Amino acid sequence: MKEKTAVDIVTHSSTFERRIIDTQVGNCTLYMLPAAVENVVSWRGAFISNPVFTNGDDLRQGLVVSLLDKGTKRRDRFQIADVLENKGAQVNYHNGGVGVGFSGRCLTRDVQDVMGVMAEQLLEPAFDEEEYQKAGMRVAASIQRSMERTGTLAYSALCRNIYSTSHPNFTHPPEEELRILSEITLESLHEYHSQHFGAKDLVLVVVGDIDPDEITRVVRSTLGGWETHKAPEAYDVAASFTSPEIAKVPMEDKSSIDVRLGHAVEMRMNHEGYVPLYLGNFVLGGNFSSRLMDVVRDQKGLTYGIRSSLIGISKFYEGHWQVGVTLSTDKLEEGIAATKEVVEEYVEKGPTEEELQQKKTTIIGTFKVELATTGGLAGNILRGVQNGFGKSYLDEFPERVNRASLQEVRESIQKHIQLDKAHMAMAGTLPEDQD
Amino acid sequence: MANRIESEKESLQDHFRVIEELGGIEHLELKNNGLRVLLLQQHAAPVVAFMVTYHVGSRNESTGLTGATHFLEHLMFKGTEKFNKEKGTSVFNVLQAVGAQMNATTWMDRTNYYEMLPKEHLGLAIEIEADRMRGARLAADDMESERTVILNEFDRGENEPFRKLYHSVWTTAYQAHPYHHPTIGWRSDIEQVTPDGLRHFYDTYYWPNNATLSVIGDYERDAALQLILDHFGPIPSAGHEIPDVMVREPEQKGQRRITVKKSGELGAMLMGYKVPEGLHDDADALDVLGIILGSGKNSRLFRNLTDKGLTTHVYASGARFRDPGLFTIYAFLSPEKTHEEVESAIWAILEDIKENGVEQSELERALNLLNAQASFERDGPFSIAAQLNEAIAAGDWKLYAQFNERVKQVTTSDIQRVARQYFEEDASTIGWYIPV
Repeated sequence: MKEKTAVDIVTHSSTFERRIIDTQVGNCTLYMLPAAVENVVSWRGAFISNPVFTNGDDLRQGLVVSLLDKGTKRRDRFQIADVLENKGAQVNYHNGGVGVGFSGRCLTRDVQDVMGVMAEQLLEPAFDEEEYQKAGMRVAASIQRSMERTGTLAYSALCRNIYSTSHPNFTHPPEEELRILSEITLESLHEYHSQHFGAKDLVLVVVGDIDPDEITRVVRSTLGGWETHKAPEAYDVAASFTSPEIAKVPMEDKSSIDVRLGHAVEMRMNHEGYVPLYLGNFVLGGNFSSRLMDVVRDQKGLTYGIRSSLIGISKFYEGHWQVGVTLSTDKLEEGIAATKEVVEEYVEKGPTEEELQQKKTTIIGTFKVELATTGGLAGNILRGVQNGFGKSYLDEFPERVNRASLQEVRESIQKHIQLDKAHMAMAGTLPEDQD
Repeated sequence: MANRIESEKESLQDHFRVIEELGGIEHLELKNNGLRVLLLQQHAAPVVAFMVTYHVGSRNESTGLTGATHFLEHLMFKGTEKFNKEKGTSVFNVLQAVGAQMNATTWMDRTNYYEMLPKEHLGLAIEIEADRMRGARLAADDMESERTVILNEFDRGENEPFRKLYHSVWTTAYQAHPYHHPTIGWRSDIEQVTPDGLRHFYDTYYWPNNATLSVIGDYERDAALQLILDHFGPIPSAGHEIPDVMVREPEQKGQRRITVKKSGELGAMLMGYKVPEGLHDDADALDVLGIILGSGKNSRLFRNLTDKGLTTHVYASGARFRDPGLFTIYAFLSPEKTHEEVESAIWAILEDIKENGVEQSELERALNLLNAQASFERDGPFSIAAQLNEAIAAGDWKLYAQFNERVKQVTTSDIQRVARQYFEEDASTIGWYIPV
């Protein structure tokens, strides 16, 4: 049999859908893609935890996640670090709203040991009293440090005006987060872990220099026996227009003000209208050659950075559209006016055919470039699977982008971007607060 | 057909001098103008990274012109006669339209422009970079609109206490050498720099014989060289010597301390130690020492500071600069912990290494980590470009190719020796950020 070369594997004429191998291992849906890189294996995974956002579960989940790498029932944090660090391997976890995400990277020969450590951390964290105290302190410090950041505070103020308290995208003010954090007990973390951590909708994507049979065996011996949990979905999935408000977060000593302008988008990612809206937003503010950058930065010189985005939209819940811009205090008024003017004109007239074609090429090209690393491949396969597109996502996304017509894009932005319904939030040293 | 290929090969050989090959990287020079070219083919994905590194950074700036390198980097996106906004062919428009991820960065020893794009568009990236090497318009009105953009970038930096601390430590550690000033420049220089000032800077440094091209990824060697020849070949080398930086920082004889007070929540600290230039042999041991000190849960700093609740994060990093730089230790204080106790704990760790050295197992852990990292870095062309860029900036691209072999030679006694030699109180600069 002819040996496969790197080029055979990656520039294969066959689709990703055909090359990605999927199998069920216990409660874990496993996707594998051999890629032409030597000795490196990357993976991305996630499961659904269904936190109850109104009772502080988002912070509770954050604390549990930060304790996962602080020792298990079998090994303390240093023994585990010994295993990982001596192999140069990495395992990371993140608090992903309605679920928990994890990722890893190691040399091919170390997959069994490193995934073994990861499974031990996910299933059997030690919840040591001393580590719990330290984790609480670190989370508190990170909330306190976020109080120094104009971008974080403006974003969080905007989200409070857009979402209900039970929506995954709602964000408490940092002072409130600190209060909630101070009331979380170690016992409640144990309880949260036992009730919300489990292989519910568990997906794992492994990409790199792999033998699929070997990876299947490793996953069976590590995550294969993980039971699912019974926590029900208990969050608000809708985001709706509310009457627009302006939130100001005055801060001392911050001569660049972060401004966010945005409103709810009543759509989920697997809706057929998502791609036209994504394209429409991209022409407005998706990259350096977008309308907003062109006018507000290049022509008028009012900002270093301006971008419009669709945020927090998934298969599970609706999210919002926003423009984010930084403006020096003396340019605040002019910058906001210029931003609104660009958005208004764009929504009214829509993109030109040429602009749209150009951005389609950009998005498809960027998507290809993102697939240049094993981590990029694994992340995109996971995203596709999680958002209901299955393993054909890598093949179909470019096609869906190409299919969107100018008319669909125009209608989509006119329906979903409505400046008169936009909230505004700003954080920094505001002109009225200057000495 | 065979004859044509043969004659093309001969033709390329006429124009390019192969200097050496190391670690899969081929180093060539375009004979007529001294442009250096590094080629690394990697066929894992159908993309290619193209990068131009100019051997000019804020290190080359003088008083009154601080921030010029960075300002120029911004203006390089404003266009040339061929690629400009008026024609709808601005650099961003044209490159992003084919899906390129692109940008530029300026740092103390270099400026780099890069594109990572689908392989079929490599020619476009090469054409654009060649075109703006000598064809940038640097128009006065573009400069004025960009000035306020940069001032907002400056203000954004001023918002961040830690960035302020970082600049303050370098400014305090360096008195004569241009590492003294921030790469973005002093605000008054950004406000006052003129088109003539920037034009002079551009005409001094932006030439083929002061630049290195890197092409990494999925491409065909001779086709890439032909594109480079077609586009960069017609550019002459500078008609002058590229000025070198002659300033040497006087020896530091006494600890320096700086305090930054700014509104905020939690304190931070940065400790800097003068260390030799990036190509110095001791830099290898210092890099390994940086990992032993600050990477992972088994590192000295994590075990003695973060794990004990003194800090929330702590890092250590060796320095690979063109001229003698700073080995830095960053510490972010936990609530209710004082700068005094954190600083004293860090000094105790350093003193222990000076006195007792490090364990063989610590050295092995660091080398294993570096070894795995070398494989990970080969995962995608962009990470290679980023590493290569810093090696070029330090003065020799081979630093990238030889890095793992070099650090494998480091012994525990080397580490103790460099700790003793460089972690001297009199050569240290200590910065405290105190939130108010």
